[in-house]
Amino acid sequence: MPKTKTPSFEDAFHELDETVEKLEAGELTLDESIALFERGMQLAEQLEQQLEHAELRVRKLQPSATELAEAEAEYVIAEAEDE
Amino acid sequence: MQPALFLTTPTITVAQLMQHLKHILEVDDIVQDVWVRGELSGISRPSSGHLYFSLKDGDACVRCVMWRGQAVGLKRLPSEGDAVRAHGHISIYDARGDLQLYVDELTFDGVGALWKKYELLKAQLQREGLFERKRPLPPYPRCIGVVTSEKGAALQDMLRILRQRWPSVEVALCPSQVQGIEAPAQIVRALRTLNNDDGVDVIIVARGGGSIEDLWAFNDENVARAIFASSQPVISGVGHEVDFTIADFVADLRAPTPTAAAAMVVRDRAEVLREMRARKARLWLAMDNHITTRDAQLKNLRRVLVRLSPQSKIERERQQVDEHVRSLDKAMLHEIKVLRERVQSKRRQLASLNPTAILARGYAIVRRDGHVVNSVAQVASGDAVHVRVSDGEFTATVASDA
Repeated sequence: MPKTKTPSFEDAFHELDETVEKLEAGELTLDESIALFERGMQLAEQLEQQLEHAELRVRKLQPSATELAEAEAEYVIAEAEDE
Repeated sequence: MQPALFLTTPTITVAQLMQHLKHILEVDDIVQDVWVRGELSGISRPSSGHLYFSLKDGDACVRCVMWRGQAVGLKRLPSEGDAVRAHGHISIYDARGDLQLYVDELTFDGVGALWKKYELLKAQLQREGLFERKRPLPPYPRCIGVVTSEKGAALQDMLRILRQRWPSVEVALCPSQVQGIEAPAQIVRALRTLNNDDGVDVIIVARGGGSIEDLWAFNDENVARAIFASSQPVISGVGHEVDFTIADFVADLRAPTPTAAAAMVVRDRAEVLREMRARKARLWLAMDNHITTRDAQLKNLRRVLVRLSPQSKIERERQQVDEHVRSLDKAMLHEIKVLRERVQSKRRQLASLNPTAILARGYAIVRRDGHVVNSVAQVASGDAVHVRVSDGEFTATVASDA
């Protein structure tokens, strides 16, 4: 899976919360408050979009040869000869 | 005794000896189809998958082998001291000359022994502190690693719940057997595989309900240690509500069932959407407040501005001028009145000094060359002088010197 560079849901949600709080706190110029409002709405809509238009993806992982060998080695309890 | 027959003791090869002994055993009905009861010891299971062990009973001991084909059918990995009954046939392992029981079926005697082992392992891992580490789960995982059977209902249940609650998540499934002798190694391996995957940020280890032996893989020591070693938090969802496996104790979070594990790992999107709407409403309200406040400030500023404008300044100053003019007027009038009074007083004073009034009384004013004569020295005999009396003037000539 390519690691996505978009902020995680958690980060975006956190930023939305901060934006709401800043806007609620006041002490802003009109330009600042408009910018915050727009950023907040944008984040909320992005997040909603993410929730509403998603489809569960399932990918299957197979252990690599090394992992196989490592795991099995642990279950070889003692040396023994095979017949 | 027939000594002749034994004159020469026969010499046979090792292979012949083995062959002979095998033959003896093969024709014996008892050892060809037998259940042997004893305790397991010296268990080994090399990568071939065959299972080697000894069955002990006091001082007696027999070597046993169970081929992979049969061993994989075992409910669980046998362990030292297990009381078992093994079914199979006895033969000789030529290479060593060992008498061996070739086991085709192995049953564990009762679950009491299992529970004893369970308690021992649980106590040991608890002492080591494996049950104390509980890491927080990521609130919004992007990729959930899942270790479970690909064919089990547990997987479908979990996928259904995830689809309902938080479909934007990705599931990295690492299939594993979840019961039987192969299960522990596969679970350990799956945990490692998921740990080596960059995307996975939480792992669920799950299995549906079953008997204690079905769930035994989750009481395996290596499974427990692999869960503890996991770099990502692990949620266990094994069996039913009432089942507590060692894996449950070591996991960062124990879910009572696989379904519950899926519900615990993600939030419900309906709930989050509600929160999102609430935040949007707050944004609107806050923006509205800002605008209302701004509007009020603007109105206020406008009032201040009007007050400070040159127009109103001019008007204010004009008013002041008017006032000044008014008070100036007042002062002037007063001054004029005072002056007028003074003039009148002077006039009265002047009137009282009017010389004509004296002339009326018989006095006369004598001038010579325009100058009033008030001394005899000012005139000489023969000078012409002007004499003013009350009703006119006449000229006179000085008759004599004084």
